[in-house]
Amino acid sequence: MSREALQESLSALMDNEADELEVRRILAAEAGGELHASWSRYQLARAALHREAVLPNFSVAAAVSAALADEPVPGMTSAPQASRWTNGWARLAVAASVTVAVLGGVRLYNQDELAGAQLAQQAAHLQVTQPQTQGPAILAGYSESPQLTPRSAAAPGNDSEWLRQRYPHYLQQHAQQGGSAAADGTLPYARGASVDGR
Amino acid sequence: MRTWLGLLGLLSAPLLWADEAEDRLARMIQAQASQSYQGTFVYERQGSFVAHQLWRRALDGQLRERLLQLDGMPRESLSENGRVLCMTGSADELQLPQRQQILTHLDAQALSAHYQPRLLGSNRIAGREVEELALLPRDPHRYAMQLSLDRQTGLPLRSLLLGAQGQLLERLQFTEIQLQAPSDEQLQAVGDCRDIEPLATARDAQVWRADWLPPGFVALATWRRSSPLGGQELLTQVYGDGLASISVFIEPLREAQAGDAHSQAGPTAINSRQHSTPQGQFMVTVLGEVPPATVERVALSMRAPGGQP
Repeated sequence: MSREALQESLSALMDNEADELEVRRILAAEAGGELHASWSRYQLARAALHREAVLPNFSVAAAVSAALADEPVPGMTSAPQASRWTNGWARLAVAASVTVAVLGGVRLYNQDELAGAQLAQQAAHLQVTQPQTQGPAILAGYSESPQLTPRSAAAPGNDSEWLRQRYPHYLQQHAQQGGSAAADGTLPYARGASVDGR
Repeated sequence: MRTWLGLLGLLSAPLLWADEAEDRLARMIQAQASQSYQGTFVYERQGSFVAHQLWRRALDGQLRERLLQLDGMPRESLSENGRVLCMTGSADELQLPQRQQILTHLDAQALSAHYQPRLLGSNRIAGREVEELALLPRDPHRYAMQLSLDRQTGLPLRSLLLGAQGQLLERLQFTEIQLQAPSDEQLQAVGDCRDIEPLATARDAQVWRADWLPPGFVALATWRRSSPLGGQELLTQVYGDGLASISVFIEPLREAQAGDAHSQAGPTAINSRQHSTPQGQFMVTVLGEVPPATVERVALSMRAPGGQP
């Protein structure tokens, strides 16, 4: 993959536009090279913008790579009988997500507010170091955009509408029912509000 | 000499961290249960930055809380002893499960088996002195959390969720706080606050189970209800490790067609898998504030009651 494409992914990552599968791709593509240096610089720049004491250098490629090496393939250990199947699907799913990311460079938006999504993408491309506080102008709030894996793409009859309707409910209920020390009502409420807070 | 003492302090610090950090956590939980306060905070995650106001009164062991969204829609929520009484805004949820509090019952040792506590030093949040406490995951299945704890009261004034690359996933931060109990008036909802019924937990054994969960995650509760979108039964399970939680939603797919999918809503990763069982097709959706790989793995490991996938 070209260096430009990787750099672009890195920028997307900084803006939280990329997902974790993309991170893995980036880290796999170049271990310990120039991109890692860029990544550190971006992080520093953002920390400076935010002027805050966030954990220094807690991160980096090494930890993730180690974690990846450690991590068994999904489905492998848990379901001996099903492993050939699920394993296959999992690999296919990951591979396809990567393909989608590579081909499109951005997420597959599958929502009504196409204009809003385009606006958000433009903003992401124009300003690499833009802080996360992407303001209410984007109106993205919660973007109902399931990234479709090959299963749905391959079978034309399938669509994500069924899931798209349910995700807001699931998120709302999840926010309310979870158990956490730090949460204590405030965090679940705020998370729930951010799901339907338009 | 001073330098040496400082160095000595640094070297011995790791031994103290666990104990001290546990003290801080215990103090935080205690403060949240017993401290009255009111203030404003911001909640930030990807694509969302919203201010809220909070009033909380702890009196004779009774905790009453009102939350009001200050930006955009005036969403409001009233709760008593952790149970949501009424809510505005949330479109059609008139029934909600009760939140599962597990950390109060979980010994801090269990938590530190999966998170490494670390005191990072002093800071200042909302005009008050705080102490920074980081909880770093010991494996790649969960995220790190950084808490800024008020020195005077122990209350968390800022909480950050951090991804594996150190990126900020979510922030809840007070901008202003006063340690005085709100009045009865301030604890009244002003908007159209609709009653929320608590959802009873299901106690039967015939439920789906996860063959794989990240170490330390335990099943907290199961609920059955009819889906808010059509009368089908919706089965919900919640798992937690004391800090993070993972929810599983299982719905039968009748004529509906839906493929596997994954998504990300701020810090929450979502993964949906279609499972074929002798009882028919089911859609299993797993979501939580954990890395996408974790929810995917849990989704793949879900097993129907009494058998193979």
